[in-house]
Amino acid sequence: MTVVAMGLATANSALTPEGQAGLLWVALVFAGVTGLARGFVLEEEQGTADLLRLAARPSAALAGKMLFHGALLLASEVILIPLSLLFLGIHVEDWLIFCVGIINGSIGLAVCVTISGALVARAGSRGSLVGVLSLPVLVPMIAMAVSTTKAGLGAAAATIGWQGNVGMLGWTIAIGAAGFWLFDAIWKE
Amino acid sequence: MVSIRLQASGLGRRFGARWVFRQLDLNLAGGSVLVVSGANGSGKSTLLKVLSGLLPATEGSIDIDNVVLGSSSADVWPSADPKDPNTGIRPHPNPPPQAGEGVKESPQAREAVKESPQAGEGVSRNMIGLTSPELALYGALTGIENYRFLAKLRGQSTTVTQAEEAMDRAGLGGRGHDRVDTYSTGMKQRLRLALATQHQPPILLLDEPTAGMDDAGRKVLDGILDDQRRRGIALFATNDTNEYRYGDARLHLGV
Repeated sequence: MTVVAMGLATANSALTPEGQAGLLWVALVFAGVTGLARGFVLEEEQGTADLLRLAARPSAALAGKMLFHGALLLASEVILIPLSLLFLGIHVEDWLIFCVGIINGSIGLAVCVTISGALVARAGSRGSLVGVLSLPVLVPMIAMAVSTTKAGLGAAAATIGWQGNVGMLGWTIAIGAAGFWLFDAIWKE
Repeated sequence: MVSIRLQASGLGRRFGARWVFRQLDLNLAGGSVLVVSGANGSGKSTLLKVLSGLLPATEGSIDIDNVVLGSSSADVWPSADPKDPNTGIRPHPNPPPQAGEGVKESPQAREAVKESPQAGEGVSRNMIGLTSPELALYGALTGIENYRFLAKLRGQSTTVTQAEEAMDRAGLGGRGHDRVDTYSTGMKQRLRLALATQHQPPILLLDEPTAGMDDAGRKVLDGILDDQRRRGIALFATNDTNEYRYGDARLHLGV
């Protein structure tokens, strides 16, 4: 719906590749953050988190939720990406950079959203905290994802695209490692 | 009988400024069932959650066969004063059945054997089973799916047939393939018992296990307690005086 609305809103405008890259990631981040409510937050709200705590290793619970968010996001993208290409009139110049950037960014997004979700789930006023807690981990990832996609659409040099990919990979590893390291404390109380 | 010992030393838990219980010492050996009694709000459920690792202790330590499951730094919170009116633990009305076993209030300093939290956490998962009316189940899954999912999380591979047999033992035969959100309160409680005992834990924590249960359910519980006496230790939290008979000793928590 987000992509269709954006496509209709920009139907009579010629979007620049920079604008297209930005809008594409608005849709992808929206899909990723929507899944946040179905992860740890849902476990806490349903009260099933204690059942998980009793039976699962914390690292296994975190890895499972990361896989869930990753699978959910990739499944959404199967529909989202073709729709975006169609409705936003996106013309891809370098498919390799574009596809690697989307996959890399999605994995990073899944990792960031899962860890943000774990923090949000343990916080009292969940709704208002989503944005605040997600921002520091998501903003660098989104910035690198947009710059990589711009390179894929021909609006930036290929080297910038590959640098973005390396940066996203590094950020994902850093956030993921910090998440696994801190998760015991977040998960317990 | 499995040789196991559950010890808690100087255990305390507080929420905000209010101590739910404090300076609690436990020393339980295999084959014993301890009834934890007390009025609503006296801390029975909190104690079981702390022992299970779901809640951290504010002070004191817990260890199973000398592996520390949870300990808090004595530097963080001041030591409990036995004369403190907020202590929240009343003396046990009956002495424990055997020397060195049961519950006692002790002013002795806690001497926690510090080990890595990961080691304790692993011991907790493998050695403790907890059932509580507060423990929510996956309502969208069937009883058998809940059972198999939890078994998988515990690193066990369980076939559908094995899960069906467990459902039969819990008195849920014929309803195992139904979604849990269609279960009655008593049926959910039976499923919780099946989940708590699926890994045959040497320490079984039962928080008001008969809540909503019929006579047949209570018989299932009798069987589980008989098995648990052979397997290890059980703590049974209740405020029903008729259920004190389940225990060899009783710990009464005061408000």
